[in-house]
Amino acid sequence: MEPNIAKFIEIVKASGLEQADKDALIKDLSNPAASMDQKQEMLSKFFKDKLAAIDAETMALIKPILDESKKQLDEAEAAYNKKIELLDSKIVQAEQVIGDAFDQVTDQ
Amino acid sequence: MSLENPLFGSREGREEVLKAKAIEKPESIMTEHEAINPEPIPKPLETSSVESPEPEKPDFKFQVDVKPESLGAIKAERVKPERSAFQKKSLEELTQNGDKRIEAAKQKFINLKTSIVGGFSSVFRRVKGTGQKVLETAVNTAKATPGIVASMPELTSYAVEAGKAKVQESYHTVADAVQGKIAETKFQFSKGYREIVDKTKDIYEGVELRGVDALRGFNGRVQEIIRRTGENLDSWRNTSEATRLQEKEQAIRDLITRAEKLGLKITL
Repeated sequence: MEPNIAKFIEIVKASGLEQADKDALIKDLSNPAASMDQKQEMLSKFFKDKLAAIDAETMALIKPILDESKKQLDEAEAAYNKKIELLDSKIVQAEQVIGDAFDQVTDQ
Repeated sequence: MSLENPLFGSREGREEVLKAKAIEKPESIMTEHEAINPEPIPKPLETSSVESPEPEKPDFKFQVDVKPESLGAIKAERVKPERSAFQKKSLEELTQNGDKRIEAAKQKFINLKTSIVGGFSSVFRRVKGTGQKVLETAVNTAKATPGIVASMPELTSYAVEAGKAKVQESYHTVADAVQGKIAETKFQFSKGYREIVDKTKDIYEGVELRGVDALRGFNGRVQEIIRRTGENLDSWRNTSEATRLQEKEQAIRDLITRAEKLGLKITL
């Protein structure tokens, strides 16, 4: 099926795209010097860029939520590490206590 | 009192009798030691026996339920199910991050447990070694007690000159003292040994329990953070900003669909 570029130009005109985008798209799609492949590539790039921009904008908006979550994860991990370090030091203290107890028994 | 009592025979004979009566043979040390132990030396904790309950996996159901919709319910109504980069990241990335942290925390706890098991082994090796040492010391103390062996010629001479009964009395006095010292040493060691074992167990079990609690607490906290993040993202999708972006993306997706229906090949 031969792509119906003329019909699509009509759709673009009637779409809710911003005027600048519409104008640029229509200009490129109407360019007689461009092949159909080139027009399709241009159209693909246009859509890809638009979707990427929406993604970027969304990411920027939800970044504070994710940053806060990552911060909380960091805090939780730091607290856990602190507890483990404390328990490690308990082992060392225990060795000391046991050593002292042995000395006491040996002295007896 | 009989003159044939070996105590008044040759020096070698007297020594033999004294040793047999007053001093335990070294070979019996461990037997004595084991006999006074109230219970067998506990084995170090097996790793399996102290294995903490497997940390619960993050709630993947939550992930499944929420992830595709969280950021976007935006995408829920889409004709095509493609997901944007931010959707693939966000919660998924956060959950993976949480998983990694839980794994790292678990490893730290395993290392701690290894340290505890090693500590136990070390403690009980030392207890056993010290027990032998204490009893050897007791025997040596007995051997070195004045009046038993070293002064035997004088005691014998005294007995001959001053009376056999007096010598016999001295011998019993010294022998009793030595036996008493040995018994006392055994008792003190037995008591000290039990205290050390109990104290050691208390300390290590306390550390173990707190380690398990810490790991569980951390695991729960990570899951809670991920759950709340999902809720926050769900709330965000109801904002006007999210709606605007949703509509904007939907418009693009509609155009793509229509272009494809008109025979245009769109590669995203």
